[in-house]
Amino acid sequence: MARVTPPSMGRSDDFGAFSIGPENSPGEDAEIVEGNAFDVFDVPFTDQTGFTHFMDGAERKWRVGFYGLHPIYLAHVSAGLLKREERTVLPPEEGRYSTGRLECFAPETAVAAATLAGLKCTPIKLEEGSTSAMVETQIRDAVQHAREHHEVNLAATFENGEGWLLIDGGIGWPLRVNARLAHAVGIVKTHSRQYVRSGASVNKLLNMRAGQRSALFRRPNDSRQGNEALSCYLKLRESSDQGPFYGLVRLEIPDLDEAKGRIDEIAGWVLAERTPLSLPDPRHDRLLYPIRLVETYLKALQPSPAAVLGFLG
Amino acid sequence: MKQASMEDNEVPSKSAQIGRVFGTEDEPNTAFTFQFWAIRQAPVGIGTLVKIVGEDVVVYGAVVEAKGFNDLESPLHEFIAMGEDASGTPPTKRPEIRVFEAAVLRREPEEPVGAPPIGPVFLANEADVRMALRTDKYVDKHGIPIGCYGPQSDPVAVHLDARFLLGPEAGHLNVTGTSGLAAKTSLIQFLLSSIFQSHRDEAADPGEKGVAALLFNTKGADLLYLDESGETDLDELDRTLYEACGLTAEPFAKVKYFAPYAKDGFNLMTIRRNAELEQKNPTLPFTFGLRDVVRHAEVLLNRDDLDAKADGYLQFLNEKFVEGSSSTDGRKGGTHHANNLAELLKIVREQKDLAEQERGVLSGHSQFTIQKMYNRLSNLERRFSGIIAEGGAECGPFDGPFESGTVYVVDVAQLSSDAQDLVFAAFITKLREAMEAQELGVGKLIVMLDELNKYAPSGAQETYVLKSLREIAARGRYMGLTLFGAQQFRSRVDKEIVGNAATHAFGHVEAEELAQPGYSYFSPAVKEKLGALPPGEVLLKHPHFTQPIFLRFPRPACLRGSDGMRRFVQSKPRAVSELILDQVRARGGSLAPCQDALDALAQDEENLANVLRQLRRLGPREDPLPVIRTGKRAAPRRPEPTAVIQERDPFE
Repeated sequence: MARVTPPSMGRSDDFGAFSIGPENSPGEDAEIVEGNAFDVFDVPFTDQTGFTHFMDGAERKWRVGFYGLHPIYLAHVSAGLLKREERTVLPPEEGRYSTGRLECFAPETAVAAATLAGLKCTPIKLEEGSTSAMVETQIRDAVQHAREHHEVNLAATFENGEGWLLIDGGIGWPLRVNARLAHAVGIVKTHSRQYVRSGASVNKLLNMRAGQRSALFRRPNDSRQGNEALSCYLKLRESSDQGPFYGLVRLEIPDLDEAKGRIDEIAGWVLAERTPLSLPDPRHDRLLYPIRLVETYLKALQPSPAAVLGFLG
Repeated sequence: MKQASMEDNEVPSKSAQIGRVFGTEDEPNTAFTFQFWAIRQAPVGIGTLVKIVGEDVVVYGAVVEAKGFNDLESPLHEFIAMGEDASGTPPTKRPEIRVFEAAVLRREPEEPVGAPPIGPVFLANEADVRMALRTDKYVDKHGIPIGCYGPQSDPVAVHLDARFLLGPEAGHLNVTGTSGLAAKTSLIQFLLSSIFQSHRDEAADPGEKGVAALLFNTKGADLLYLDESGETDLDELDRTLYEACGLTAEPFAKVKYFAPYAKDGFNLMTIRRNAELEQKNPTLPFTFGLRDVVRHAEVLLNRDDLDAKADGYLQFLNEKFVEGSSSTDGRKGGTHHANNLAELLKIVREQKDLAEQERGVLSGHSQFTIQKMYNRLSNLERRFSGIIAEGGAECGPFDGPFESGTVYVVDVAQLSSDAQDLVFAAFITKLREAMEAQELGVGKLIVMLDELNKYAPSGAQETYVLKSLREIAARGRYMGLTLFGAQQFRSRVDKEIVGNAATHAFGHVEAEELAQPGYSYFSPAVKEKLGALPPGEVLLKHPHFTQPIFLRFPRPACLRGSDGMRRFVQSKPRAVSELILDQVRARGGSLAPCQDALDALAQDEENLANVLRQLRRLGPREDPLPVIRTGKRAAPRRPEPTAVIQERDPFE
């Protein structure tokens, strides 16, 4: 018998993330674009949702060997943009699933050997004094970048007339390749960047009640997050037994009048998506169910470990 | 999530792909079972036939288990997810998958026998059904339709192989089902009709040709109106099924009914006692002669009565006075021969008296044994009146050879249990003898016996009936005798008889019966379906079918027993003279001369009953008048003495 899985505290959920230095966070409070202060509002209740499409990416990697002390990985990345119709999330239509073939991520000195094995290879540049852990991090970032590449390409195919798109993550990069993207909302589940720093604002943020959102602020252009966007925090759930980020997500919308004017409505849609719960996923407090279905779809198409072993021969 | 290419309410066509095979490490496919998932709209259920099309092999299977699940690990997750609110409608449905397990029916090519491929799954169409059930190999020459597979709107006929149903390759049918749910009798009636319409003799086979059937009506009236049309009872589905099977919905053309005499010795003990029926197709009497009584004494007498000494004395009587002629004391005097029970009793009484004079022993038999047997035999006539021939001459279906295309119905429904036992023992023995002598008169004779668990119970001491049924089950198929047995509780029927049946049908079966070890062969889902099977559906096992399959069969085109009883109300027992005139009418004889001849007879019941018995033996077009004239005539009347008053007094 399975039991209810409590949400785990992720690395980025560490309360310390809110006290990281200015070198990693914006040096000052984000610009508030709704009112004059970082206020908190009750979101008008609705049991309706306007989201018609959902997008997520997936990645999986297998450490298949070492070159010296440096690891070599095989990775599979993909992204899917799935439509929901009559409460049912459908498999992707033509061009709404993007994936590459199994790719090798190896230190540049090992690329020749990997290429000889018939693998597409992304070289990882070794620097003076690179350690295995550093290479591991470089590979992780490279794989993530490859996944984001697929996501961004898919987001570029979305037309505003199709409905409203909910993206797992920020919308900065999609906006960069598709500036006309107006009907897109990003939902960010992790909080490794701090956009409010004053004690009063932090206090308001961490004491939000379920169904409340913060004032809109401007999330600036960022080398990691792409184009600037408008953003607000939204409390999906609350629990006295859980940490301060329990059920807390950050929404991103394009800096356009329509989205800005409908932020309450959009926040209401997100709240309406709270059921069904994404259990048994440990991120169920913030992972919306349709996004989980997209993730399930993508994972189902990933090669199994047995297939990877077969590929290696 | 759902299949993007299929609209919600669109039922896939037979040629459409409905799913795919899958196998996991935990639950891999095997050489004989495979798993597949199917789209929500696919009409797949327990018993559905499917086809996997692999690159180099096609595999056919029958669904034996069905499961469905979504992405929940625990019901608690759903409870929490819904906020403990049962009325909410979440904006996203959880994806649902339907998974089926199928048993392999056939693969093409047949070798090698490996696990089915991970390939696309299709519903079986008509050609696939024939391939899957291997009927393609025999349907044209030996096929006998037994029902239809598939949806009601598009049924596909399923055929049995006559060589495996009626012999000689295999034989016999066994039907299990709860009484009153149109499984056993209805299926057998439909199958008999199908056999009569479809069976073709092998020109090269030696011996007699054609098929006949002998049915025992043990209860109710279901088998008593087989030649009456019940066509108005058939609905559209029945007609569709008949059409799919290539059969005509019509009652049996030739049926002969037999029933024992009532206690009065001339009315027949049957629900068919009705003037209209007597006109159309009169019921014939059956009685047993003295030889049958003596041979089946173990059935007639209690087991305690027939100990070794009594049995020895009975055999002595049989040998000396029934089969032969002998003197009563074994030494002197004239010889005696018993033609009927009354004559035998007279001989036994004489022997009893002689034994008392001979110091208590006669021909090695104690006077007490003789006394005991006298008491028992004298009791038989009363216990079995109506079925033991008063004149000693037996009559019934064995009077002549069986005729092809004819159904013989022996109505024993109104007899006591003991009397039914005698009837079965005698008939089954006669059948076995006729079978062994190859004198059945037809190429194949089908014998239908309901309540097998009563006549051939499992684990019981071997009785004469059981022994004969075992003989028929074991060897009948070589000699043209096929047993169609039926029972409510298969687990309580002799295993040898059940095991020798090549074809088995299961209608609605109660849960208690399904819990018996004999049903462990079926998957839990198949058993669940058997426990709730509606009338007109059966699960069928046949030697050519690797797995049992569910079939639907139409209602028989004969009048149902309950309807027949309403339409032809049973009349009260009638006077023997009226019955004689009924026989005259039934044979189209001239009523007036027959009435005159009847008036001329001695009017005692015994005399008229004798005439009636002879009339009943007449063929349908034979003239009844000569038979009536054979009766004992009334004594000529003496003229009444008349008083004469003379005018002159003679004493004057």
